Amino acid sequence: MDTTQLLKGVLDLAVLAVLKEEDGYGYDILRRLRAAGLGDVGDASVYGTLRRLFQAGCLTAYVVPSEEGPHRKYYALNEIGRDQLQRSGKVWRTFASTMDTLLADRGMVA
Amino acid sequence: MNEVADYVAQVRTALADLPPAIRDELLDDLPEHLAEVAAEGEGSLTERLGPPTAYAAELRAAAGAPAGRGRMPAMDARLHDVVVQARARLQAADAKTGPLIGYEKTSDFLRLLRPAWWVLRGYLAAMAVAYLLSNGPIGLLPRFEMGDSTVAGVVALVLFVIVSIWLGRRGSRLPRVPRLVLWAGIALLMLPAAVSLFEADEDAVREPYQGVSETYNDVGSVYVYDEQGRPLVNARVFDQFGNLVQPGVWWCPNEGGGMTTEVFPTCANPQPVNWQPAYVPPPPARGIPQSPSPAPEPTASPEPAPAPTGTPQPSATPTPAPTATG
Repeated sequence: MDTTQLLKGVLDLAVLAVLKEEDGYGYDILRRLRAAGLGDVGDASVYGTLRRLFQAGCLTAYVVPSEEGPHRKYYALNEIGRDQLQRSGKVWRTFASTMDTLLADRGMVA
Repeated sequence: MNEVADYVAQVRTALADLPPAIRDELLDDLPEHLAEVAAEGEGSLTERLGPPTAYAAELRAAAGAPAGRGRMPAMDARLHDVVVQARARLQAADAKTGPLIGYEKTSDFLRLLRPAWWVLRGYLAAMAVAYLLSNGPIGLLPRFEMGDSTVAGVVALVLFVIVSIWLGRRGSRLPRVPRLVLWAGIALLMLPAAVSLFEADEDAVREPYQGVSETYNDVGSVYVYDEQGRPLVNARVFDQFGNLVQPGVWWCPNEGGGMTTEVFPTCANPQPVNWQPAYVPPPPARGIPQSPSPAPEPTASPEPAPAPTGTPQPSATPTPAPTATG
């Protein structure tokens, strides 16, 4: 199964989760997602997801000037974002464990 | 930096079909973001992020924007939008104007008129074909130069109408290309037919020369003579505005003793009806200046002739033509 198809559904959750530990700018968030094992995630997907979450009011943004290189736009979770992360996280855990059980019962392991 | 601007521009083009507000919102931060990306690694943006079109497609999907129309270029997309909008407006107008004539939609009513249109179309096509084949003057019936032209015309008219009705019944079942060819052909035939119809209409309502006062309402033609009473051949009469005076109906005596419609002054033998050779018109009642006429064609009648009209009015009546005030 193509991971990118799966990612579409849970990228919101992944980005929110990554931002829970620390604020981040676009490329930094992408790097952290990849470091966490989501190697297939594309830059445009992360950028688009950030724009959408920001539009939906889940994120706040602030610009950090940089002496060397371009200014960076940092994104941070706000109340709505944290709330969304809580609910989506719960849905995902339930869904994932259901799928785990379903597959484990039929002798499949990761 | 140029590389980033370039890349952003190409992404923007690929998203050209999105509503401008959504597209601008999506691309708002892209230059800054790509600058970060560019600053943090090796290689060109295209090498690291893939082609701008692919980036745009991924961005579109991730941001939840409506799916693109494949590889439709921006221009086509804009045209497509115009067509879609025009169609929507037409449909709205269709539904809105229908109740005015007691129908749900105006198109419902127009659909009822289709057989009438087929008949009219057959008539117009017959007229157009007759016109193209004969080059003659066109009347209200198609005329063909063979046998009894009226009978041939009526037979052709009936045949054209039958074919048109048959095509109308069959037309919607034709495949797309023959149907388009049929429509184009019909449009081509309609053009000369419509033009000749308007011409015929114009002829029907055309009024005789308007510049002449009521005294001359019945004047069908004007003949110009010199002082000795000799007709001036090929003379033309102009009014004070320099317009050629051409009374409404032009009759010329023909060889058989009858009359033929002609356009003055093109009568072969420019003699008035009941021409009396002995008649010498009296000198002009008032002095008419000998200055050259202001008429556009000075050769026609350099001296504004006393110009008595023909016999219908034997008294020397100067034409209202070239006067000193001109």
